[in-house]
Amino acid sequence: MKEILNVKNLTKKFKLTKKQQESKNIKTPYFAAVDNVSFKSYEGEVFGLLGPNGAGKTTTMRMIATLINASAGDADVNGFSIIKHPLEVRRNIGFLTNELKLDEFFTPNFHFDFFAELRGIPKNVASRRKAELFDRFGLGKYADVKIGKLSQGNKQKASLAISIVHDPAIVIFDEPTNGLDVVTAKVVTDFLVELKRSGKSVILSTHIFGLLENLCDRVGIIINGKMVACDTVSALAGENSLEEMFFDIYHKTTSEDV
Amino acid sequence: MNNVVFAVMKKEIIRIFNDKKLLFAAVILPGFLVFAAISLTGLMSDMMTGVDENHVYEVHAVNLPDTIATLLAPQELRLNVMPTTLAETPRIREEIADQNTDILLVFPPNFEADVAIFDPSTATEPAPNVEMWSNSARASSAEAASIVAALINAYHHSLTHRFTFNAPTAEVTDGIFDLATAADLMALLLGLMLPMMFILFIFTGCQSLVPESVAGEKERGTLGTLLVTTASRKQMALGKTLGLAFFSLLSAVGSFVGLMFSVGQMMPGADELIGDVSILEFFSVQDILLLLLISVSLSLLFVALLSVISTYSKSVKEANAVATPMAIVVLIGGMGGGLAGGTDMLLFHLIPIFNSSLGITAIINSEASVLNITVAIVSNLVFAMILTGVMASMFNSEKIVFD
Repeated sequence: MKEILNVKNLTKKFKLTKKQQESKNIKTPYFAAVDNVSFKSYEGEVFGLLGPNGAGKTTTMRMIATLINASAGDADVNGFSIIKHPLEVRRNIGFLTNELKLDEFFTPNFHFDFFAELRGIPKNVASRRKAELFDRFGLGKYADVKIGKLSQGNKQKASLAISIVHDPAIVIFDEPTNGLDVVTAKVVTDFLVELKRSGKSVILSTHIFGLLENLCDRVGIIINGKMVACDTVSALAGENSLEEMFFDIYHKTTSEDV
Repeated sequence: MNNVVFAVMKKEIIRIFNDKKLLFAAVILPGFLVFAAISLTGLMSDMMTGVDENHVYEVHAVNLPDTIATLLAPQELRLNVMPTTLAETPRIREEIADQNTDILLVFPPNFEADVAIFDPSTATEPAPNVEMWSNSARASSAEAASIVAALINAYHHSLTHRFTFNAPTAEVTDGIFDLATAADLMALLLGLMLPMMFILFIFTGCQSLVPESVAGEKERGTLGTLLVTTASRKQMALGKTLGLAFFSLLSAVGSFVGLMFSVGQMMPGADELIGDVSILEFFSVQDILLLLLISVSLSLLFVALLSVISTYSKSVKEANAVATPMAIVVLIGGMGGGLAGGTDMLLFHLIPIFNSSLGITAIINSEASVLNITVAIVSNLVFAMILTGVMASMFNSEKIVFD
């Protein structure tokens, strides 16, 4: 399989104030939110990132999406370095996270056209893709309803469609089913499977073990900014469930009982 | 224009057009408020001090000497002098107190003869005294008192001094020798007030739009969605600035129109001073064009300045809190031109805001130098471009965008 993403010793350090140093009990004035994280993802693969809140999953994804700069290390997205060629990286990825929202004053229709224009997609191509995606997500009848008036599920479907307006080689989804009802969550997970089948590389961050077990080819476990385990689900879990395996690793890494 | 810049600009314009409340607050309301506030102030001041231009003042006089009667006689003074007796004075004073009539003059009997023989160096008795009763709470009474006092003072001076100064003549019956024309007075009034108000209105128009659009995008989490696309930060900053400047300019035009229609009532009595000169006839096509170009450059400058403040701020509230002290700087810069009274030093025309105030003052005084105003406009645009560049580089800062 063709390698689409190669994350190499990616590190992100945040400066701490003296007050933060004291509260976190850290002696250095820097805090490594992501510490030498490395992993690869391939064409037609779903790679899952698993970890507790604050482990560094979102920061890792933001660095890959070039939204924030890495303190050290690099990542190649479809052959383009996030440090040297951020524009090419953005051309090759679709990024969906709950933190990045669509303007509630506009309709899905407007947003799709707007983001297609920002990404320089020819009008006829954008129009065809909009018809496909809106049809796939059942957004047709809501196409001209303002985002602010849509249900949570339809908002997420619109965000999903718009995040891949440019048909990227790699899609990064941070908690894509968070806060969704079971029906909409199913639509989203089905779509992730379709993306995988169409040869896209999907990076998925979620707390839902079942989703990881069902969708992911490989899983990376991040705890306290470090990649503590990375392999196929079956290799990691063995005869146990992914959940049991995770808490076992978590306990060994942090010495905390759950 | 670059497609991305145009797309971002279009989005900003549609966004504000879709937000009826914001559109009303930013574009329509300032002009309306300017008109309403100034008109209301004018109306209130008219109610307190204004006198109808055809009002005939009622002057009751006891023992009115012939010389004074002659001074009060000219028709244009609109003084209806009514001789009365000493016995009537308590009733007339009561009427004055009740604001039913204007003034009462009480001369001693044989006033002119007593004055003629009075010598302050040898006199044992006090000098003949003239009483004038008025009610300053009644506008017409206060005005009549002012006119009559000026005439009697002039008469007094003519008796005691070896020469007179601006005494009423057959030609100038009211003793006003000021040759300022209505247009001159209009220019003086506008020169002091208009630049400051005009610049401040453009700023407040921008202030109602920019923080909501820039800091609001950060607050709503929609800015990050834009930054993950292939559009460059510069294109986004420029698109936003141009889109917002479009509405800021509309806001400025609204304020300008409001100001134009209400300027006659800006100061008590200004409408009387201005006479029949129409504000719309006051500016030539070139003046209006120069004003428009200054407005465009100022709108861009203020939008860029407020965009930098808004990008730095975490919320709309914080952006507005930082922008408010900026309004004071703008106010001072806006007053500068009127107070400086115009200057040709090219250096001053490079200072943003102050240069626009100088330019507007020069246009009003019909002394506009196309070179100076061009320098001012270019200077404003250069500063706007620098600030837009600063905003674009701020978009690159993860601390600013995601903190």
